[in-house]
Amino acid sequence: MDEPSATSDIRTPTRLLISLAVGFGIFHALTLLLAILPHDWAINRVLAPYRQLTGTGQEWGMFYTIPTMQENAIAVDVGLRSGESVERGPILPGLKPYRTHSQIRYYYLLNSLTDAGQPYLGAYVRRLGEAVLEESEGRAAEFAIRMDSHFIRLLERIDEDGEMTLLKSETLGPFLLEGR
Amino acid sequence: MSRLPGGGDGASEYEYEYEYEYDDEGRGWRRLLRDPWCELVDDRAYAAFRIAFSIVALANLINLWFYRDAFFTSDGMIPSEVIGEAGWYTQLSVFNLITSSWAVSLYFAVSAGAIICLGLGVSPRLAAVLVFIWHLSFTYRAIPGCTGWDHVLRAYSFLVMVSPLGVSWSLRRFSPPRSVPNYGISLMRLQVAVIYWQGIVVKLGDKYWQDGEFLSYFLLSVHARWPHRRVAEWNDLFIPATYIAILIEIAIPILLFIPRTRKFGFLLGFSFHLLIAIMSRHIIFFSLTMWMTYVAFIDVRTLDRIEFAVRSRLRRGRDATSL
Repeated sequence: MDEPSATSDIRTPTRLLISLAVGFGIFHALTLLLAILPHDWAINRVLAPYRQLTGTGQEWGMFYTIPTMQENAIAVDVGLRSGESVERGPILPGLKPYRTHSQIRYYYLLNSLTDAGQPYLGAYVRRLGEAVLEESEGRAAEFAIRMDSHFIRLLERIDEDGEMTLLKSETLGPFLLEGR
Repeated sequence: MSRLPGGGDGASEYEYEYEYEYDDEGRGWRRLLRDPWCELVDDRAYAAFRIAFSIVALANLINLWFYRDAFFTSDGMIPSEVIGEAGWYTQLSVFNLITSSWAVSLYFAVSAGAIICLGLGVSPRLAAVLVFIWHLSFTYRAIPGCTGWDHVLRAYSFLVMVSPLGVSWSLRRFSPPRSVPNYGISLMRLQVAVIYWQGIVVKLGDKYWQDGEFLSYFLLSVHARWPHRRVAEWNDLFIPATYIAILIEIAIPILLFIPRTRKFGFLLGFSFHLLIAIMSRHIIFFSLTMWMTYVAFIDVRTLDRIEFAVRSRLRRGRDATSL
């Protein structure tokens, strides 16, 4: 039996590696470039599973439009069965307070969680309810999420009177709790 | 001396060891298809990127540490049952398996260890796989709490994982560079262009970018370091600045891709993101991440200079110790 030559030993994996590098390079480059086209195009729908599996989803819409808020305050108002009311924070676990500027990821998160157009609100309210009941040892009767948002006014309005923001207060709830 | 076309426009002081035979005799379309992926590049280009990526990824992990209970535990704020409805891919997150506070903290520690190992070049392939899984896990579990730079890091964690890892620069050895195929570097560069250009396509469809008012609103927003009513007064100045920002984002990848203009690309990109970091107070990580992506464009001569500087510093340190 002929022994394989040293050359063939080297060349076989080499060619395979080159083919793999070329194939992968071209395919991945195409998935990147095609992402510039609208996402609802058929080719992008076909490529979506590959992008999701490899974590290379191409959605680079950072600041695709203006930010609308300058600051916001979010608190949870808890009504006790005794008739008293206490204020707690919206951060779980622990109902910790929220500060816009020191915890920017909470700003993004709470904007999504409290947005009725997003799917998270119902589940977040359930979790808040459980946390409120647990912390109050069953003495809480209801709670509401209070949001005070300072929205940026139109530039021409700011130019007129110098007021940068418009305070909009909104309350989600009250949500009734079943005692223990 | 071997010149490495994929490594940029500079020639290095090193003789390169080729890991495989690269046939550069081909002509025409075959070569056009093959060269962007198989030309030989100095593996220190990968090492430099690996190290820069690890530094930013570690800083980001430390930032996420303060949110770990809220984002990733079963007592936290993000309901896993709702996240699961986003798609099958959310099942890829390790955070589906670990939900207690101590387990989440432990996973953070393991991932931090993997990022450090990747940066130091210790078991780099295994570390790169763990780092990729980490990025997939946190971004697919904390979807509403994630930011643009998290996604940039995730995309690059995949590219780092499937690329040569630049073992010439590692904790164990500081050896002469080797030649490796350039497909990883090419994809890392292309990714930079897609980040900027896809962003532009999206922005051009928005009224405020079209009107040039984006920058004024940005400077009054939650992201602004010094929101002030005078911004509205000076809107006429900020309108051209908004359009210039768009032109800069179009130009950066072009300048970086052309070897002759690369220095201007670095300068423009660095200044642009420095300005963003100064004018805003929460998105320094975005600037850091974009600076990291530019490392994929560093040429061989700059790698030589970096290595020379590090070697000199190490030598001085050893001399000082021996005295």
